[in-house]
Amino acid sequence: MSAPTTSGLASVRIFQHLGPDDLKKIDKIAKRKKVAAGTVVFFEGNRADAFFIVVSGSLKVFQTAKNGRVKVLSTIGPGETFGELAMLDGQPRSASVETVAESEMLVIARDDFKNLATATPGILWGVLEGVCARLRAQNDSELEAAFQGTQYRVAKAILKLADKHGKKADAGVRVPPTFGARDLAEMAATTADRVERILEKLEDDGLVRVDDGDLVVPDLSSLRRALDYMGSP
Amino acid sequence: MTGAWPRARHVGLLLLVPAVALAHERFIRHQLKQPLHDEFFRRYPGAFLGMHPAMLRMGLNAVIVLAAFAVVWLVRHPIDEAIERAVVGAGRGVQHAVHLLACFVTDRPVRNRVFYAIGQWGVIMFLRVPGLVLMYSAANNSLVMPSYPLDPKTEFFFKMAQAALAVLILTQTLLPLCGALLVGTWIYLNRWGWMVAADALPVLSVAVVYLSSPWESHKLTITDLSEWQVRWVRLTLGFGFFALGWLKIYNHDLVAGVADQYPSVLDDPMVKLLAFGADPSFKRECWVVSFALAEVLSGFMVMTGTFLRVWSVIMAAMFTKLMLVDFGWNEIPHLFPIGALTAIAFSSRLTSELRPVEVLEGRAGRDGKRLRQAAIIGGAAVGLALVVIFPMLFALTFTDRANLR
Repeated sequence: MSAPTTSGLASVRIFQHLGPDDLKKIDKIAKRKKVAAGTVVFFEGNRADAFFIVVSGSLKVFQTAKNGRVKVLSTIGPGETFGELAMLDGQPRSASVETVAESEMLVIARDDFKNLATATPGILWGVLEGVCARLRAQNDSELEAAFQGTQYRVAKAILKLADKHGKKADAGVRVPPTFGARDLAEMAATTADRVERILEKLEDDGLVRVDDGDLVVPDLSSLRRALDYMGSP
Repeated sequence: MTGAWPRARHVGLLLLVPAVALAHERFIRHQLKQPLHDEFFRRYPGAFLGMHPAMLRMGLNAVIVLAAFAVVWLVRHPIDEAIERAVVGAGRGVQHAVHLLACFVTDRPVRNRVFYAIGQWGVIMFLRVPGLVLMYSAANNSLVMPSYPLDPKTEFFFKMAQAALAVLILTQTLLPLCGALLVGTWIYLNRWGWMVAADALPVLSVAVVYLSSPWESHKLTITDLSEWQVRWVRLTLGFGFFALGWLKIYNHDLVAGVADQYPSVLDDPMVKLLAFGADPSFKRECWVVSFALAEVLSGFMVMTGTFLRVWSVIMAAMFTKLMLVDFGWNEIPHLFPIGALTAIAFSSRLTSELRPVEVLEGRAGRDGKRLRQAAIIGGAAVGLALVVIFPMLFALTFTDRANLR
């Protein structure tokens, strides 16, 4: 991903409608931040003072239950934003965000964003679209949790990771090793042991392969088709 | 919950059967080794507010401590964020540990397996420990606390009633009835005098939970308290300690007598802090007032939910020390407040009565009005501390203690 120049900002979804002058304004107020892998950017319940644009790397958004169990709600990659919900409504953060790989992001302080959005209302539409997309994904996820089996949820989590963070290789799409069985378990609301067993079955079916510890999806369309059959009627 | 209060009233009335008993310190010795200076606690002509200068000094110390706690409470989020930011590069484990500790100290939900397990255990203990205390009292011919001896005429009835209530509590059966019986017993304690009833105020905190439990409680695994229950437990428990603190200044001879008999209770850092700068020639009198004010402060913090976990842990540790080190086996009923404090300290459903102030200062902060925000925080903290300490301290100088001797 390119450095946070105005051209880099133009590729960020919520800024796509903005002109060069507006992008320059954003470039001025945004602070660049590099974070090592395995670092929590903010915790659920923290006060919201900024929102974030991912330049490079990958992060996971998760919630922790009272008993300490973790549920990964989504993963975030370059060009995506996070932290806008709490920044807009002034409530505490609704989820935690942790880097899965070393990540670089742009941070825009709440007050700066407020001034910017007042001057350039188009930005708010972009932010709203992002929030809506996340809400829809959340609805789908809840539906899956209610009606689909564990195998479906694990396969769906693999598909999401491959789609968003996978790197194309000769043998298929390779999911970065930073996402392990525990991450898959937290995404699919199950245990790491169960994920291991399901991975073995998916490997037997030729839908995934574990190669040097990396998860490889030989054919994304096959996995997508298989999901239709795994789903309950 | 519906219908529990009318039943509580009926059972309470039933328990108000005439009986005679005298509440006194049966087990904890409290004879004064030498009399206190009465004038220290009374009107002091010529002094500011008519209070002894040492008393005034300790009152001011208490105001400063309370105001400081209130200010830190109201600015705890920025402090917490600064600390958490400082450890961002220290690795995932350190970051999570600091975050959990910060959540614990600032009364935010602590999302951790061990904390959750301790909380569940705390609730189980809190709900059952009154049963153990009642059994102990029955075995010692006492009512609720070993300090309240039963009248021989009604001894059998009350012993059996306590044993039956203890069985219901230990088996978690008909909890709303248990709550009503506890409330009734507390009302009955008023027959010994209002000070005896005030002494047993903390017992009402578990009655709140019992009364708000379902009638089919024996079928349920109750390991968690609702936000409503936690709030009322801290309000009743905190108010109990708050009232007991003031009562200690009113009934100063009793408190000083206990200290004369058990000098180890004098060793308390909070008490020393509150007595800082007070006239050393009134050492015992100053100890009584600072000890009482320490209880007033801790009770107020628990009651309002200000650093509730920190205060709960400190108080639970203090009660454990009293039980194991200072007074011994006869103070085994202190298991009850320990259970209550554990249940609220390890709950993730804490609220605070200072929330309206937080909303106001937060709004000012978001609007960029920093001066107004600081004024709200400072004004609320100092104003609250003054109102909590001085009117009652002042009023107590007018009271006549002749009836206590």
